[in-house]
Amino acid sequence: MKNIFKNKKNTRLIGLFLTVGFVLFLIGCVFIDSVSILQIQEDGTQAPRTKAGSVATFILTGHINCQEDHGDVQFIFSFLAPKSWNVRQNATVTYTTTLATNPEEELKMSVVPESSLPKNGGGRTWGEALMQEYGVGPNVLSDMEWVTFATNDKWAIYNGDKPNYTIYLRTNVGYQNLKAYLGFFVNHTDDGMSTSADHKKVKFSDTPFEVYGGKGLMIDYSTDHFNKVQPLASLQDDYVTFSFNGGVYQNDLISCSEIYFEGIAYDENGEIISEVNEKTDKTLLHRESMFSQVYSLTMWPASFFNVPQGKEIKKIDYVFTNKDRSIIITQSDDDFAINHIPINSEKEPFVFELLCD
Amino acid sequence: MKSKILKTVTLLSFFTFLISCDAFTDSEFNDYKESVKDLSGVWQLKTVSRNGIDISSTMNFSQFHLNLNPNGSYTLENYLPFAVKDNGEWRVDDPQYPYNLILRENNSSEDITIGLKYPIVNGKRIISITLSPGCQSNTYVYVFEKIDNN
Repeated sequence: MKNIFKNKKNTRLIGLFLTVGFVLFLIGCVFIDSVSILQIQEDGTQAPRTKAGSVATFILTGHINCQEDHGDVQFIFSFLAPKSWNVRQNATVTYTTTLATNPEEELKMSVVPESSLPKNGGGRTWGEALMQEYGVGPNVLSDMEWVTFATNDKWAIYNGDKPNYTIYLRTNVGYQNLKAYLGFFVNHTDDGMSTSADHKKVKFSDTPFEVYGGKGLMIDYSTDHFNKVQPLASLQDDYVTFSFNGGVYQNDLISCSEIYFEGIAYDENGEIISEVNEKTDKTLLHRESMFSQVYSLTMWPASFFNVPQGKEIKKIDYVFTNKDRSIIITQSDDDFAINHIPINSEKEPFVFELLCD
Repeated sequence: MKSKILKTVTLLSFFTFLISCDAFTDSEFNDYKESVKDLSGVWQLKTVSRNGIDISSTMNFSQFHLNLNPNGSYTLENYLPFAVKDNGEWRVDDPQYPYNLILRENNSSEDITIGLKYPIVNGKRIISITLSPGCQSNTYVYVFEKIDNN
């Protein structure tokens, strides 16, 4: 026996055998087969959109190919959605599984509290770990959140089990008009965001989901635009960052040495509070990093527009321009770049509505 | 004779043992009390994070000073969005373990209570305050550093 280990060739073979065996033992376990974001429309057809204020149902189906034993395990489901949906408060999540005595019965899942951390999340909450690992997926705006749910029941699952499962998330989609890719994630508490991809899977919707007929302009989380505003839900006493995303579509402004912000603030009656079009440090955008073509300006709107006591900004019209105003990037330029809508002689500015849900 | 010597040595050892086992009475230890945290001074806004992201470099925040005067009044210099808008009076909920800074604006009867952290970072006492001066869904963390009054 000792001679076997003394022989280098044999030692390597044994090492390889043990490694393969170890990997095989760990291989499993959780798969996402499909996600559906389609909703029944008024005309009876199905589409990835719903009316503002209504409850939408999202369905995930998957299966487990278990190659190890687990006792007392809770299955995890996380959902990426715009923060304005307030999924933590508004969503109800149920699931069916062939592991259950009655595979048709919808069983409950509950929100995982912030104090309950994933086993291998390095001290991060589920939401933080998911955001660091997957971000906001194919979306380009970051005002989104991962909300995590766990099965109320604990399950015992054994090597060789191959159960199917279906998860239903029903949530009110709020009143903000928007378009965003939605994210779906599955895992279990024994794994808890380990580095292995075998016990966790993520999938983003193939198309953006749209909320229409609500309030405000359509916020498009899913497509790059010349402009970006953060946070999307802001009032005049927030710090608001306006960004010019100069690298996404062809434009002449990006080659200018200085890029400026020009804006007009309106009150709730549509009357102008003030207009800022000076070309000074106050309105100069700063490049976010050497590696990006994004230029930004963070402001306190109430001070920037010198809002008098008792007045409140409801809307800001703005454009990005160079020092002599010979090049101006507007909403019309964005519409032309993305949707090929012809530009009229009168260009339309970008519009930011100050709303808070 | 030997027996007497042995008895004497044994008795002496016993008394020495008794004396050496006197109870520890360190009056300073018994009287120890947590020190009062003096928050009065001029506090300069050093860093700001918005929804968990540091935005300190995007604006000049350091001009904002919170002056907590020893006489119980406070003043705000170069105002930025904050929990209060006007000057007034300040106090903490517990002088030894301050968890909340309580501000009352002049001509107001309402207290504004702000959650407070008061750690020492890099050898300097800092105040960390969490607030939402605009939309409630946006959370800001203001970190103030005490500056010397020279």
